[in-house]
Amino acid sequence: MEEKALVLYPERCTGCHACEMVCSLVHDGESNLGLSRIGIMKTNGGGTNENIPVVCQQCHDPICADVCVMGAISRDNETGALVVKEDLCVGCKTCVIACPLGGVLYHYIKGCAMKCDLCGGDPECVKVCLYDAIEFLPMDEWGIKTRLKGAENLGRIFEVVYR
Amino acid sequence: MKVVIVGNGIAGFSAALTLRRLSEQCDITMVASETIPLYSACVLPDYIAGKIPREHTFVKTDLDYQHLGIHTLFGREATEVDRSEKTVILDNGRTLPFDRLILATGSDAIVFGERKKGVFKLKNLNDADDILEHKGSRAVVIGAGAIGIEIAVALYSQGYKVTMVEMMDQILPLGLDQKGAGKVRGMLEERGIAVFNGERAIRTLGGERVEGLATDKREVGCDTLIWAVGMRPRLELAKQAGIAIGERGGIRVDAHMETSAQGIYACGDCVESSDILTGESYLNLFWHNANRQGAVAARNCIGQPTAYPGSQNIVNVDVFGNQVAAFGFTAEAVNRFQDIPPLRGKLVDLSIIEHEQDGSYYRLVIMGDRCLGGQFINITRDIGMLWSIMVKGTSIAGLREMFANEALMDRRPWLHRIRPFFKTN
Repeated sequence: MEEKALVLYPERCTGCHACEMVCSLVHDGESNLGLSRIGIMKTNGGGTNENIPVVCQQCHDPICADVCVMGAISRDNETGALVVKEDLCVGCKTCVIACPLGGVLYHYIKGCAMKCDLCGGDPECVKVCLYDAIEFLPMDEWGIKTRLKGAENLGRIFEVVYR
Repeated sequence: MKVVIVGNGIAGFSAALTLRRLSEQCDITMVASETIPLYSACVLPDYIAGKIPREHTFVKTDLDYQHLGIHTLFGREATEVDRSEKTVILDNGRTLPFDRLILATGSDAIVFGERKKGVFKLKNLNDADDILEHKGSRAVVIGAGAIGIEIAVALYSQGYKVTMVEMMDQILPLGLDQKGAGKVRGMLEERGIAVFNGERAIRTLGGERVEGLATDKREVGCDTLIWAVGMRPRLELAKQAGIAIGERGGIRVDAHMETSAQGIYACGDCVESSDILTGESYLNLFWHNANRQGAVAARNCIGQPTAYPGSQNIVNVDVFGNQVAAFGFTAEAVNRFQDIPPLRGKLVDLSIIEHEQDGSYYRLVIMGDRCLGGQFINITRDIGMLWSIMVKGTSIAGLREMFANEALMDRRPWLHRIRPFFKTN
């Protein structure tokens, strides 16, 4: 299967939480922001981007899988997603602590780790976002888009710094 | 290529798995004294506490080994390595030829004195079985590190009256500084677990059965005594083979996990490895280090030179619903760093960022411009990034500059997550 990744656009995000609601709905059958694998981080800074979608980036060398004492996090070869085997997980939260992104969370009802599984290859959050702040793109295209975006950002930083 | 792996812990298994992923032809044989597939020693306290059933401690099944095409010689002890003949000799006299040998012999719990009835350690699954079968009512746990605390909490939940005896003047000496340790101690004492710090265990009392423990200050009665003072690498085979042992008491390995004997690799709890922060060799006996070392050993063994980045420590204990986590070094440990060359002379500005609020607490240990450790109680979110900042050696002054510049922060939104940690003081 073609390798795809979730691409997040903070500048488009309005913080409406629709992605979080649908995420918990499809995974747990209830619309509950506390059970969402994707999260909107509200920054309290004075900058322009105050809502930043955060979700597991399915690392290539994942530290969450590394620290798991039950080997409960492994890659789904179909989708490329790192998936928690809930029957193995003992809920020690070491993966939650270790992930630098906050991509792994704790399912307070099931008592185990939870993280984005890319909905089996067809992420619901992408479909529900009204502002296209999340896209699910093939790695190649993703690379080009982010590079373009990077150049754009660099321009803006120069503007700020050398104004 | 014939590879023999001695030991079936996570290091040995991770080595076998990596070998198989890299080569379908490689002939892999695993020798282990236990007859069961890979299980997680880290969750044994949960098993004792009755939180998970026995079968839940297993990470792999016998079938997994079959699917991977790994020959298993379980229930056998490797007694000898013949370096010139390149063979391993087993306790039943069988010889196994090898092209490469991986030693993953692991560690065992340190136990002093005689093993009276009722005296236990906790390292293997059968140790946990023994403790469960014993069914005592009053326990003394010697050692208040992470494992000691987990055992104490587990026994408490099984209805035991628990007393802890720790030689150092605080609990969790490798994870927390005095302040955090005091809080965790409070959590234990609140439930009626007595904690005696700064007391040395002198001898066990009783005849055939244990009836108590004498420390240098008191006698505590008990019918169950558990040693949790630490783990010691198992070196019998390495010593017999004439492989060099390091100063810290583990097999000495280079960055490629190769021992002093060419073609013989070692990984996991039996080795001493370089710490990612200081570069010094320590016994870093943690699951994730063993996991990674096994993979590195396998890669090198099959001819893909790979360097081990260094060991990292992370302590994570659940104390009656309070999550206690720590990584890196404590301020106490940093104060003892005078001897460590890469850090020498930089001790002038040790600073602490510390904050507590509504039952949560954190402390960051910063030396010069680097974060060297973090201690957290009831905080789990967003500290992974602090860990990576510590490992990477990110400049703290640089971070603070970034935090102050909103325009830059917008370009590094993830830093918003850790900015609050640096706001106090």
